[in-house]
Amino acid sequence: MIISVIAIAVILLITYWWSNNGAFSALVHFLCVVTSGAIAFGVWEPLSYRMLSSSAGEYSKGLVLVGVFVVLLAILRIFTDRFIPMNLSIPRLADVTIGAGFGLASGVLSVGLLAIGMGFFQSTVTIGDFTGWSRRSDVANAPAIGSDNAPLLTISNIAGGFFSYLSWGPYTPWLGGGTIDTHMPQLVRTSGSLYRDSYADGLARVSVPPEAVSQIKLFDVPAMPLSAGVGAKPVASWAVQFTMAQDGFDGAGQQFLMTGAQARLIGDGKGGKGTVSYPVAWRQNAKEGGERMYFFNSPSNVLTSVSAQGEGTFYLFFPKADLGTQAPKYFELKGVRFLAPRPVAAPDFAGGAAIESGASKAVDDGSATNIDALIEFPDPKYAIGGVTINSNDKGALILDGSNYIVGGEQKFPRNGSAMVSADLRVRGFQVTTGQRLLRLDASAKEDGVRIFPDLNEWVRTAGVDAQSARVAVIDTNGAKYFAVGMVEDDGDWVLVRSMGGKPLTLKDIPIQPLGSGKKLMLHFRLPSETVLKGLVLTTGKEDRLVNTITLTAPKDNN
Amino acid sequence: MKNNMIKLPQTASIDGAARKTRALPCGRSMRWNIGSAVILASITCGATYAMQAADPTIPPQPDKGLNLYSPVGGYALMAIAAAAVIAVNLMPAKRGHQD
Repeated sequence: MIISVIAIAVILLITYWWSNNGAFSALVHFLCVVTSGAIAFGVWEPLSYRMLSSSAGEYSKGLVLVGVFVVLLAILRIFTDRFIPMNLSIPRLADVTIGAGFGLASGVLSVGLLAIGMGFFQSTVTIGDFTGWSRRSDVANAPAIGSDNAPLLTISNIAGGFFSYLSWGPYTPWLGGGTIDTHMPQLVRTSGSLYRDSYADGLARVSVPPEAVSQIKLFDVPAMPLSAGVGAKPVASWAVQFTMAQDGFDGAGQQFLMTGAQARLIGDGKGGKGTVSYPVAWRQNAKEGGERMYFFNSPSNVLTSVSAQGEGTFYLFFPKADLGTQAPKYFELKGVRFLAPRPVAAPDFAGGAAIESGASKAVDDGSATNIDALIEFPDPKYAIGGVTINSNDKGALILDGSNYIVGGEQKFPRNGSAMVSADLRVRGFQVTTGQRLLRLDASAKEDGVRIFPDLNEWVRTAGVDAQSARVAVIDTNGAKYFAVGMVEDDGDWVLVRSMGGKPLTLKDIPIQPLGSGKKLMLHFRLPSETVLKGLVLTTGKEDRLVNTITLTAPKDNN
Repeated sequence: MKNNMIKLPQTASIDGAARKTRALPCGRSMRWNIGSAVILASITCGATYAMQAADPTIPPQPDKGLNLYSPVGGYALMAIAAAAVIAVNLMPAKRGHQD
């Protein structure tokens, strides 16, 4: 209630302000607000989508909406004050009353747009005492979404409804002919606060880089139970398959997490308003093997990729009835909208066998050599090798609270600060309980890893495909574990580079000429007791097996 | 000196009829009964945990120690955005009168 009261107080302040400035000035300001708001909604997604892959990705949607609105409104106000300098002379009572009316309208639109924009900043679900729409434990049925009916939602609804209405006419923000209601239906629900309703009360990611999502397929699924309850009624549904790469993972590439509020299927907007369906169930790899159905019937049920795996393929199930008579047109995942492909017949979702996802195919290039001798599983506490780093001299490395490396890169002198107390010592690349660190000696040498042009003809000839290929180890089930960091030691300097959640590609590796004497160590994290198969270069179309491995990761000692 | 101790009935004794009546039918001591209750509770808890662990509808759980975001950045941006919107709405109009 406090947040809503503050919002109402701000609206009243703006009303009072413009009643004092007079009717004509209030009218000009109101027109500036309307124009700025409409343009802000118009350029909102085209601009913010470009920022999704940057470090500001989690805040891009809020920044662009509010930022464009504020900047444009300031410019328009300066412009109108300069070029419309004169005032209208009307009776004082009318001046104040009409001024207050336009001031009130400006205040409601501005505060409403601000509330919508603030909803698109990564933050906690509940801000102060405001929650709005979220997953709630008192809502029985999946996806368990409900509202606390905060008054601020009404202000947002007025502003959202006004700009949605404008988007039908000459103010349409979508150059492609759509409107807010067809492309971003239920805008106010999303902004307050379903967009932020991620794992751990909003502390997980709320966006993904669009390029991290691939293999999107739409299945027309016949009626099947989509609830964990005994004797659950079969429900016809649309299922969306997608593969999430490590770039879209939480925790600097550790795991992909998604709640039931962070994905939706949007109808074709027939009749002017797109209908919306939130997922009630999903299917994914189970830790113990095979695939299983899980259900969004509780706020604590969160779609989670298998620990340490570098990518995951998931199937979300949306009840058909939620879309009414509309056909699915868009699939929205963590605020990023994808065009839904043409639906195809569903595979056997009721069974437990893995479904052919159409992901990249394994290719054995025929010259793979065994690299078991180049692999070790060090204690992650002392896993960098070659250098002891004081956390006070970490440079651009990003550390977690226990001094494990989670991002950044830095060069250190080979034997710089040998005397470092245990508390201050920078550890290896971060692993969590149940995981092991695999350290691979990837120095360029005969009988070494075949990822360099001198040792692999495909790398030499494939050009951009090879340079952007990601380096991963795969297990016998085909699950990939991407390199999370590298340490290059040239004898004098040690370069420590964490990928910070982005898988290592060949172009990230400094040139390693044969016989240069440089040592290159690649670090992978994988679940303990994983049975390994080999080292692959993965291009998205294929996984090229360049070396074989016949080792099993040891048990976790933690 | 006044004796504040509660006087027990003449008939009360450690193995009197009342004590025997309140004892459980098995006739064991109270200590044994508490012990058995604790063991039974432990078995129940263990069985429940095992059932939950084996429950196929419980999805994979996020790793412990996952690096999540701090909400401070979002709060700061919200405060800045709110201040900017209020400030730009309260820019005074520098408009003179027509007459």
